[in-house]
Amino acid sequence: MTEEKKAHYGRFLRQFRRNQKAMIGLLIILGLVLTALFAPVIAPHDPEATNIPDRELAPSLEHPMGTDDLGRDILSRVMFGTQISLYVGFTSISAAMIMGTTIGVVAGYYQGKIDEGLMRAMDAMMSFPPILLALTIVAVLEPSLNNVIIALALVYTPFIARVARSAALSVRNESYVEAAIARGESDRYIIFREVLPNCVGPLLVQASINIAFTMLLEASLSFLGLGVQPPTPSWGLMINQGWAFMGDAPWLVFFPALAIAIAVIGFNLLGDGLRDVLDPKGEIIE
Amino acid sequence: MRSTSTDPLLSVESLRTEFRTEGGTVTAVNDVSFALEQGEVMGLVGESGAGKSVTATSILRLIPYPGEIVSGAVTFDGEDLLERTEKEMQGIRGNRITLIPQDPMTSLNPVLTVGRQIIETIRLHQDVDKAEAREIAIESMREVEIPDPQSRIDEYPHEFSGGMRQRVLIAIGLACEPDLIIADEPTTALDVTTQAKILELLNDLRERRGVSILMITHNLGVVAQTCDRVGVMYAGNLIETGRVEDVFEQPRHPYTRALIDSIPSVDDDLERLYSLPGSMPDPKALPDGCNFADRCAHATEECRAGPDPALEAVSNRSTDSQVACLRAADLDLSEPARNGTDERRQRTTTTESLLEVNGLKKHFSAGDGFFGNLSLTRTDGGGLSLERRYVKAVDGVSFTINRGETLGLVGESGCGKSTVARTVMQLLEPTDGEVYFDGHPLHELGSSEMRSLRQEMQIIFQDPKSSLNPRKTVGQIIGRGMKKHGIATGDEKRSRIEELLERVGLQAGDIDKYPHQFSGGQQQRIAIANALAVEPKLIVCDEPVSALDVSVQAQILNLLADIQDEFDLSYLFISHNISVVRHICDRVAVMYLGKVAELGPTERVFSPPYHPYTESLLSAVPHSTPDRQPDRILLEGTVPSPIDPPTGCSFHTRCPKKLDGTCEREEPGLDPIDGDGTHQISCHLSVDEMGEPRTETGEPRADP
Amino acid sequence: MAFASYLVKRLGFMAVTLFLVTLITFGLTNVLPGNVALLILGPNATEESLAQLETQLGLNQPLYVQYVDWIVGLARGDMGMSLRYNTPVAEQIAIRLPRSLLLAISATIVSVTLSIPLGIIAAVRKNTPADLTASMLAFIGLSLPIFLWGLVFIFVFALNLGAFPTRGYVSPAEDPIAALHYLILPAGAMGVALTAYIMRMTRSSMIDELSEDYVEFARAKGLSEQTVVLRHALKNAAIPVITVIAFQFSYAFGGVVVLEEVFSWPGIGRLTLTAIENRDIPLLQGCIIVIALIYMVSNFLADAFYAYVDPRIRYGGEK
Repeated sequence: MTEEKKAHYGRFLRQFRRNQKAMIGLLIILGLVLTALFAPVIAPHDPEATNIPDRELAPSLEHPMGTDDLGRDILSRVMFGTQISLYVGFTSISAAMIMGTTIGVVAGYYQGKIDEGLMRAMDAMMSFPPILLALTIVAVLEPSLNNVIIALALVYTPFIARVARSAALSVRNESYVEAAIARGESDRYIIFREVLPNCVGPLLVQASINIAFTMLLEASLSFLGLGVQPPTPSWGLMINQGWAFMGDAPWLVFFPALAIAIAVIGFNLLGDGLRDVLDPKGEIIE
Repeated sequence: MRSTSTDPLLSVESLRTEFRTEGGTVTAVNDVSFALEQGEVMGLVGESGAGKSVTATSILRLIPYPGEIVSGAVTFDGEDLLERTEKEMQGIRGNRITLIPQDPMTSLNPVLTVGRQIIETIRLHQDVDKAEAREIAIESMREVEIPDPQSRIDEYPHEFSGGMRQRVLIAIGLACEPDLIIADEPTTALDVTTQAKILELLNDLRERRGVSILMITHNLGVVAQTCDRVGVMYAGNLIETGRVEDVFEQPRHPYTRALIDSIPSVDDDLERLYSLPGSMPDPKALPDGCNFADRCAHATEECRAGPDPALEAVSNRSTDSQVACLRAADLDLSEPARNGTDERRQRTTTTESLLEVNGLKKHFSAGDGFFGNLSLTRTDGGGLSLERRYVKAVDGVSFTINRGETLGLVGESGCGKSTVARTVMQLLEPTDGEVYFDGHPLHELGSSEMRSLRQEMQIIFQDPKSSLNPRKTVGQIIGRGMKKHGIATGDEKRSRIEELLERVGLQAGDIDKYPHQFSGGQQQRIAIANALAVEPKLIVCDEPVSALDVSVQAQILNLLADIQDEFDLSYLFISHNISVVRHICDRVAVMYLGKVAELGPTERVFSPPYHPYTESLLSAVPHSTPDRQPDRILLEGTVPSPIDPPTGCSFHTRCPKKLDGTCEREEPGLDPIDGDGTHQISCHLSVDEMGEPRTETGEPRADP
Repeated sequence: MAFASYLVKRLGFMAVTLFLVTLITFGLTNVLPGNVALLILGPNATEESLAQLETQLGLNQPLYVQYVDWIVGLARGDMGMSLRYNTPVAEQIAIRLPRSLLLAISATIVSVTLSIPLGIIAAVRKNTPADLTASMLAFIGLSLPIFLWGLVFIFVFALNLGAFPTRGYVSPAEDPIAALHYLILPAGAMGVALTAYIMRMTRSSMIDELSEDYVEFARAKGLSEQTVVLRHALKNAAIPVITVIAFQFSYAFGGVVVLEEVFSWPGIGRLTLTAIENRDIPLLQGCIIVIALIYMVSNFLADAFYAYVDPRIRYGGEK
């Protein structure tokens, strides 16, 4: 990195570091990523090993989060559940980002009929509540981890497309884009070199917040039994299975629920903090 | 009402207002002291960041977070306002001291009727019932000359034009019969003809009511036309005060002198402007000593040390001017400052045409998208119908630009001048018409041919910040065009960029910096270097100096003139500022509502015979010489909508010289009025009639 | 006239969106794996009877013919027969929808009464402890999935306090008091979950309005801070908030799918799940279309309402 580049990004990094929300969010996400990576090493038990005699044990030293109705160690299951949650969140949003950004930037750059057509289609997709659309897609494709990812990617594409479009639209009105046209640049060059780099800020914010949403949605799908299938340790699925025992053994629900809340808060904090740093006045679509 | 006393109405003493930002403390107002007498109009003038607006809001105690009045006193009618409680201040604001804010478009609440917004102020400060308040409101609307106030009082702000909204704001300011009006850039957001009417109104009110006005403005012409006294601010300091005639005739501070000399006069053409080097210092890092020393031609070592110089009376019996300059006693600044040559530019232009535009039209759909421009209207038969509507932004414009020549395109906002520029450059697709550039018919070219031709025509935009991609370095920005059009690569490219940067007054070392590291004027220099990089023949300048402060504006205008001579460039120069156009253009086209009203050599367009619109535009410009009696032609009404332009001559609805019948029915052609055919006017009047001075009153003439 | 023009335009948009929505719905449900005829007749059906039923249901027709048939039926209010219940889909929906509407409307009322005052206070007291507390609560609110709010409410108010039943539904027509008793927990849980979004939107839109020039000018007229906030800023801030409320109301219909399952509330959400479980395509199509329609209609009403509030739209655009 040259000195000038450092100076350029320095202000962003300084503000980012000073933003408590962003830093706490980043720390939480780092913790989650480490847990997911090292789950096989640090988990005290095999997450799928059933042990009927030890079922529904209250939290103890041996089982810090207790055991479930099949005697599986909840802490280990929560740790392995991190892998599923992050995997679903990152992959589905990466896919949604690629599709949504393409659609949104093309619509925002070309405007007119292309814009109208693409955005009407996005509107139509957004007319279905996200969970309903995701449920239907998963049901059509058979419930499985990969199909959940496909469904979530499709569901969140229009949200990202809307943000990408409005960012592209405002960049499109900047004189440097007109200057590029006046210089004789191709559309491709303008979209990728002039417009896209200047849309990164709002898109990052939206991506971070949408990862939080996909985690919520994945949990809901799994809770309804239409997401990740047993015995994979997904947090939503754990709540689904523990729900019936809530009166006697609330820890079956409590710890996976806590894990969901922490993960979602982490991504929401990062998104909020990023927005403060990048664009103090910007809005996101929630 | 005010108690009678001999003290000034308002006296500000050692006022200091600071903003605590992340980057450090900004002293926006630094030990400012001045006094305003009953019935007096005082101007506070300065460039952006000088601290004039903050001074005004400090008086009202409306400093937004994180600003704070640190010390000083604001004595209004014998009371120190800084000692009053917030509740007491609420009783003073809008009642005894009122504010006329800068932007009429955003200062009225869009969801409340204008009546409600006037009446709430009246009922807050006066013990009257609703009906009485309404009467007072209608009366103040009448006083500010809003036509038909009884019915317009129930309309919403968006139903008023910008000038009318400014009148509503003034009506609110007057409704409670204040002692002091603070007018914060009251005409900056308005077109020049509207500005003329608002200034006229303020002058009238002041005579009728005897109210005191504190006029905050960056425009010395406005000061000259409205104020008794003036205070000049620079970087938070008040550096000179005095009677308007004294300050303009014999400025005591070098900055005041430079400010006056930087303004292109509406009477001079092609004169080289005085330009002050550099720009105002960063308010977070003000230098020791006089803040102006770094830009001052007269500064000595002494000026650069110690505290800011104090504002002191000039040792001269004939004036009551005060100045904050250590060298005030030694300097005689009564003559305009010059740098280098002060000759007029010698212009040699060819008659070989470079750009030829014939019958250019550009119509936009009124509203977005497929359904957007549909409008439900009642047909004659009483039924409903859906219509598609179009904004006729440019409606048949023809002109040529010769090699090495500058053609000015002047007109008020919405007249279509920027659309002409973009359509000529094929940034917008023309609806109709022909554009020939260097013999190539641009309107017929395919996109790849057009792309390679773009090297020869470049554009410079109004907002320099927006015209540079913030994620690229200066070198990447300027180098891209060179690479794209195969002008230079590698080391050669780099050395060319460095040369260019130096040519436009920057340093070679700036090549690796990012745009946000430069000031507005410097960014505009980068934009100019960027345009020059591809060695164009034509540069379209779209309001290139409108976003800049006057002292920087002069630098950029001089630079544009220099590089034109050096590189043999042609300019299409678009501006709403007649003085700027007159200063730099060889020929000029005056636009009104998408059409050219008058076209010809600059000196002929700006002297009789005139198109009536040109005449009113010229007369509306506030001169920065206080002794010149304004003789303004005030146009009635507002510019009609370009969706439904008037029949016949589009100017007939506002023309003071309108011929009944003809002008409404027949559209005049752009016809030559002189022997060589270079001066063309689109008007039904005879040449003699266009040359006649108006009647004394400025009223429309009786029928011929 | 401008207001009417505006409404006509919005209706035009809505028609286009509706067309696309039917395409998506039909497209999605027709890639559902599983032979419908086989589902109905069971694994022991003969080839012959399968073919006969397919002809009867129109399943051997090309897809576009099926689509046109379906659309024509929809327009007449005929959504076909439910395979699971063997009754008209429209009839099923007519029974279930009012129950879900009751839940969603109650939840919206709960969230609006909580969120708008909180949002205003947070905006006016920006960066004070009151704002930070409210914003933090909202933050936690939107970080829990809606079904978890249901479980939390059941755990606290039903299992531990025993104040309300854990699940079930009583029709208000039969026994209004008992109906309310059953309604409070699901409506409360959903209301709290929706509060977070509306509160955050109210706050940010209020903060935007408070930085506008007309607010500054209102202060310069000598108006008290209370008048400035409530008379001037709020009416403008309400415009985007109304959109969010409409969005949240329809979003609540996503929430009902999950929450009705948690509270055994026999509304359209559970009906949708039943349709998915039983691969009851006509029923699923009907449920999806109706929920999407509710979204479109509530958004249209929000648009119309704020066009009415905002004189710039009511009386035509900016000059």
